[in-house]
Amino acid sequence: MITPVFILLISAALTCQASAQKVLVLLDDPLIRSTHSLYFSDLTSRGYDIFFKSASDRKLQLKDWDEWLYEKLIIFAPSATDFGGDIGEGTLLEFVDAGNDAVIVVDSNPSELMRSTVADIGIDLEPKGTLLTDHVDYVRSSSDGHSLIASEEFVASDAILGNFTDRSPILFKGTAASISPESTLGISILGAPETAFSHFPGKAVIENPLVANGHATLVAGVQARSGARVVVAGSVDMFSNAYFTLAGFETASGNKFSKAGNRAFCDEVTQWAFHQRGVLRVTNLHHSHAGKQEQPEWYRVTDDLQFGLDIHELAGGIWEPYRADDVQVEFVMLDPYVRADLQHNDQGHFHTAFKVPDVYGVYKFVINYCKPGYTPLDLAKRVSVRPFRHNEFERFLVAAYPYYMSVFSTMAAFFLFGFVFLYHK
Amino acid sequence: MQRSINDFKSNAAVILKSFNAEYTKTPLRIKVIDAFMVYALLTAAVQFLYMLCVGTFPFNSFLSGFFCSVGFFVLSVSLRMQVDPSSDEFKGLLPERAYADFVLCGCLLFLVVWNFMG
Repeated sequence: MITPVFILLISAALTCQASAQKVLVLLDDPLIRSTHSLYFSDLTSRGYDIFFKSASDRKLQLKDWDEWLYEKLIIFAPSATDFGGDIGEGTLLEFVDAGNDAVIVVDSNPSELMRSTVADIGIDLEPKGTLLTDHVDYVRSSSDGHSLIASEEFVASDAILGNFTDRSPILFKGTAASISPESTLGISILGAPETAFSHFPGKAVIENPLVANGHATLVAGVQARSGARVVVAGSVDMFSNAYFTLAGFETASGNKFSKAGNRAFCDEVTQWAFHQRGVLRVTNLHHSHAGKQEQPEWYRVTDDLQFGLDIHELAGGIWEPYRADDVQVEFVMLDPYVRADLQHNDQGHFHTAFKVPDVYGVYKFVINYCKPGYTPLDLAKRVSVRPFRHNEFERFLVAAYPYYMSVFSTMAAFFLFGFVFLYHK
Repeated sequence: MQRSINDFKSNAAVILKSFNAEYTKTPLRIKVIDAFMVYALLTAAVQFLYMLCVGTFPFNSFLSGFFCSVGFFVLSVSLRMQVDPSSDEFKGLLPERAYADFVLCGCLLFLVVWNFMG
């Protein structure tokens, strides 16, 4: 008896509990703790235990033997040239590879350490000293140049933005980043306005800026293959109390806004990064002959089968039925022979029925579901498809009656011939 | 043109006439074999036409039916050669011996056909 191999890759499903998770916040400037107190108090009210440490603290410890001491990491240390304690080069990457989440915030002058850390995750920061500038639609209240920008270029994903529903513009002052077009893991959560570009402040622009025309990324999100999520933001000010509580501002094009969306946005994006939303879980993957319950180990070619699974998503710490019309299953033997949309019943049960192709071999049911903001689902279940057995073919078909008749008549002729040949001299 | 057709007609008539004249001399036993051979050929032809119309789907049935007729035809030809008094090739062979061979081969053919037919 061959047991079907069942591979489930939902590494993130374990990180669903929000109860008192430990968050390490690394600061290079202790003042941030007070200038950004609203952001941290929002986090505390969500039930996180926050530990503030200086980035250069000599006693800094992220890992005790093989155990991570913190599940989440927030870094507000754009100028840190070296981490203290046991955090060496690559420790942060190891932390992420182990499936832990991080929020990394830099500003217009990130240290080489921060730059390489972020680059390891797949986000390329603009050159040191550059600022995102917009001479067309900057925010008026800004005192220095045109580098305070209000952006409304949000990613189209409720999984990431969550309860940030009013989509107020986000105030941003800092460095832009770019995500490599080949990157399959990174997404731009907040983009730059069309007219913004990245350049050294105060210098004449004599060549095309590297990042312009809306290709700049202000806040980037990465879902690592380990299931970890990392958010990289290019502005420390963006998270500050000053922007959180700003009572209205006006842009150069004359649009007036009563408030900035920073507080809700930063909170929701952090919730996303900390796996409070957009986490999918698959259970009860099942296939059987049409109308039957028992899960067979093989099908015969051209059999009718039904396939189903339950998908739930994490919302506010509770698993709720997932509702989407774009989940597909593929029936693959090297190539997908069948690709079918899955219907759902609003209870999280997705199902479909199709006919096994008329080609025998070893197939897999494959679900490869990657939607921005959600944990990717990549699962496969193997099943064999065999040809008809020799005694399973249809017999005595009406279409074959003339052939049968010819055989009988020939045999009768053979018999008759015997009499004629032997007895009629 | 008209002339050549007339030539063809008269030639064909002459050939058929001489064939007919010669064939009447054939013993009755050989004529009986010929009749069964024609029957087997016609059956094979009808099955082939039917296959062309309906398709090859029960292909095993078609093959068994078709080859049953063709095989019967071939065996009849062999028998005819062996019992033909005008031929010297099988002079020492008794007609009964030839018929026994024919029956044995026929039984073998039908055995195979029956197993392949369903």
